[in-house]
Amino acid sequence: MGSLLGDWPSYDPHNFSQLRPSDPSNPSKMSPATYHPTHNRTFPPPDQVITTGGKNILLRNFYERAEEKLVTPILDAVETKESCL
Amino acid sequence: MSVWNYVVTAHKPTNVTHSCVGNFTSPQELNLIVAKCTRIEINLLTPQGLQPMLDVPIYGRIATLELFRPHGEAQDFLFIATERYKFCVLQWDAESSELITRAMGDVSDRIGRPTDNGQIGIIDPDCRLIGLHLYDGLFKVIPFDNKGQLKEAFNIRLEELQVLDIKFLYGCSKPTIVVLYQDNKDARHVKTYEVALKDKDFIEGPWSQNNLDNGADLLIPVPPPFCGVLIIGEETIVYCSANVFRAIPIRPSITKAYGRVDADGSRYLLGDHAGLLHLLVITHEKEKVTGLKIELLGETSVASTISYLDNAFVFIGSSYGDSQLVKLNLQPDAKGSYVEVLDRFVNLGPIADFCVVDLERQGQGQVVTCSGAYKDGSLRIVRNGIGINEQASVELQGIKGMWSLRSLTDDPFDTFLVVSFISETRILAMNIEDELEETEIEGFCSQVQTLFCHCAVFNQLVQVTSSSVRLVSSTTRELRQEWNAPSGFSINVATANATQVLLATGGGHLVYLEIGDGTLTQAKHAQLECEISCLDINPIGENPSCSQLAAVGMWTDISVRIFSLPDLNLITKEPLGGEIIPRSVLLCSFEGISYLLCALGDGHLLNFQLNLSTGELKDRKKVSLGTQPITLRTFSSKNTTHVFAASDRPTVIYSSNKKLLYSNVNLKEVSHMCPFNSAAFPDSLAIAKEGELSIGTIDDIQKLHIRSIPLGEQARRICHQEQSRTFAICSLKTHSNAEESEMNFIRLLDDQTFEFISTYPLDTFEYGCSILSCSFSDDSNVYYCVGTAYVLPEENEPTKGRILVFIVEDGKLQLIAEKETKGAVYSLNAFNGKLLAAINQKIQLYKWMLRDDGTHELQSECGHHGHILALYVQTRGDFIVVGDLMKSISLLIYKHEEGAIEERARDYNANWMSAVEILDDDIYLGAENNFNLFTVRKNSEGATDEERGPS
Repeated sequence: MGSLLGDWPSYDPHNFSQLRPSDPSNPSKMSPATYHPTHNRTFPPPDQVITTGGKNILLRNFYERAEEKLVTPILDAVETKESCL
Repeated sequence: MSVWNYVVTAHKPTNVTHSCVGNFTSPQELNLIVAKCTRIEINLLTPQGLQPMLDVPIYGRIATLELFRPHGEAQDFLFIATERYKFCVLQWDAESSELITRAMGDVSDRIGRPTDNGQIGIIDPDCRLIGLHLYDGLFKVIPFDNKGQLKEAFNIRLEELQVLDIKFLYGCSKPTIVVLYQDNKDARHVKTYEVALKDKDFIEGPWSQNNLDNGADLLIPVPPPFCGVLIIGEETIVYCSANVFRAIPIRPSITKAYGRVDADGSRYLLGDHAGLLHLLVITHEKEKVTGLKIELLGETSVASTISYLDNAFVFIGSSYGDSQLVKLNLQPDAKGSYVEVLDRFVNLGPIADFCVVDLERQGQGQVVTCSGAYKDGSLRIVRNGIGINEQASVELQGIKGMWSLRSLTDDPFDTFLVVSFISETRILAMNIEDELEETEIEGFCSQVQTLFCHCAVFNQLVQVTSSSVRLVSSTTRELRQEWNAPSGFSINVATANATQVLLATGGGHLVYLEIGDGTLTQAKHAQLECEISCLDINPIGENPSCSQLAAVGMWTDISVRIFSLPDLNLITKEPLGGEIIPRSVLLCSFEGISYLLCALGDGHLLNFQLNLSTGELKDRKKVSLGTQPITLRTFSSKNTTHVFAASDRPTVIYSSNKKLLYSNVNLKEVSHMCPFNSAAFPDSLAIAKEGELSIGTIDDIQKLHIRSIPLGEQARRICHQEQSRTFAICSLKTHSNAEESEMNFIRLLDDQTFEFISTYPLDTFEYGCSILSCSFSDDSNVYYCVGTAYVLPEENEPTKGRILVFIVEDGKLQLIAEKETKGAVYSLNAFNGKLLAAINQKIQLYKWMLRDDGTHELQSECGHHGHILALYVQTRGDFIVVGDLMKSISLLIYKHEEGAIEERARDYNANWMSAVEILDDDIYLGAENNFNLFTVRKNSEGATDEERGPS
């Protein structure tokens, strides 16, 4: 077991070296300051406001198929569609 | 009737859902970032431990939290996605200590069925794309360009509809995901897909694995050199890659969270549903995986997230219990555990039920919650206000004022406590045995009341009485100089600091004295047009022993004025308005902001921001603290200055985030307070109250105090009974050994010690659903009533339950009556001396009947059908408000003459209710399962019943 447990990774050997264990019945009262952004960099650059591409995946699929079938004259395709209606 | 209702959050979320570790605040610093519902907390790893840096509110409940490092960046970015489909990428700017939004957006789709198993958000280890699984059958991709900028997102059709987990694989030339899913025969498989960014589609991946453990629920991608994925099941763990398959059996458990230990992915921490922490090790020969090993390390809170921090320290984030900082030891302790809990972080959630009680009988409610789940269940006593821990007290009647004095000017501790009475002054001091005993300061006048005392420079003490100001050596205790009030005038109010004395005599005379080495010099005199009611010269400027400003409260014109010192020029006059005179003024400074506090004779307190250089007052605010005159005093605790407002509702005034906050002190009435920092009682306060002088320390200054009573089982319902001074809870104990078995209990607890004093076990499969303390018509006893349900595995809804009536006798629960019901008793209410129960779709009223043999029984009187499931019931008079499983709120009325319950009104919206409450006769509050609160109003003016429905 010892061989599995030892040799824990260490980023900075000083981290936790001076930790004083707290009283287990008295939990840590970590209360960091609340962050209030007061700058105008809460908005990203305009090109980094991301949206999902407008094309529905089903439509995209149709268009891709259509491109593949470009050999078929477009008029034919329209006629076929109309005859289906 | 108020037009608006408003909601205030009393406590920030404490339930830890996500955590991650990385170099966020600087390339050299290691941070732990923790998500708590709608907030993230940024911590820094230091030699002293975890140091909290920031608490960042996020507009939305956090669904994904990931740190990642785009190409060419020196530190990590934080990706956050919320449950309502918003996301952002944040970066820390160390120079300005600001969070910068690098990117953000909306990833919702107009059409889509939200996933059942929660949202998945993952980032390709080579930073080529962010993957999101938010809707069944869709995998959303947000691609990165080669500069690390995000591009327009697109969807890819995912054939697998019941996805359990998706992760990115390491070490693939094209971004590759591995999908764990369930087919329509409930078998579980994994499959891999390459993401073809150009074609916006999936390409069949390098491998797949069918027919896994039926409980497989979690994927762990393994970094290079091994790559591949670990599939965590309930009975097996599998390592799988294109050409290696290794499996080990494990003790049956549901793994809730994992944390990678080593960068090469050879060790992982796994946390299961019972809070057991395991170490999973990949054994290998060079870069080839040869097998898996698993070892039990010990027990923690049930983990929802695990983050390996550094040097064998691990953060366990929990949704069911307190989160913990644990250390992994090399050697087991006496119980065989390798886990040592070094710190814990309070988690109040999930709160299944609560009650509000006044345990200390001070007219201040405390909330006792049923918190936590499974083995981490607990009761939490949440108390508003600050407690005083009394160290010593003596009986002393008629205290008119108190001051502490040091025997040397630069002595860190106080020696004397001057206590003033109407016709004498007594001096108490700590003796060698650390006892408070009466002593004398010869230079003080002890046959009269003291108006003010203070330590002065050059080892001197100042005493002000109605006739004179006495300057006394604190070493010889002899009088060095005395300033006498002009004959015919007596001093009414006085104040002083180390070098200055300001006093007021009758006739509006304001006199300013300066203290020298053995000298008291009258430096200035001013005559005001009316009498002075209070004074202060607390130095808050640059010089800690001398004030440039004096605050003066006035009779007659009801104003507060700021004078300059030493020339006593009037700078500011602020009329207070109203007819109540100011009784105490105080200059003070919190977090670098100067304030003037002004307390009135009716318990109101005004505060102003004070410009120290101009003496201007602005930003006037008024709060009501009590009903009696207030005396203000500063004191310090943990090196921070606070103000104590002594009155019938003693209050501590402190500042947080540059806002003044008021916190009740859990004492009844305090007439005077002064800080008394002696060697034996450091950082203490001397408090005069109700014929008693006590010395005590003060709790940490914060708004809410939480005490935890671990139960080792989950409390589901709680109720307090004033008469027996007990709590009763319905609880559920889970045994995780061998077979999963559950036991349900009704437990009786002492309301002071919170110890179990009696237990009533429920039947197998029987759950406690509701609990109530009540009494009935024609019976003076107070009972606990418990509603239960038999939850049988083969039934969709319970068809059987019980109502149990207990009495507390000799600290024991005695069953007095029991009544079988045709369903689950979801709610119980005392109603017109009877018992109103909500049983499945029905509201049922029971009478408490005396039998011939002297025993009692519950007898059904009337009922009301017509709900899907009546889950929550509140009553007021003859009105009954019902919260339904899915049909929102309805209003019923009990008609006495007819002995019937009828529907009076209903809200026709489809709300799935989680609680109801009656705010007043006409307005009812509802909570529903989409985290919304709403109110409905009874339309009493309508001509017909139909019109009177809620609007």
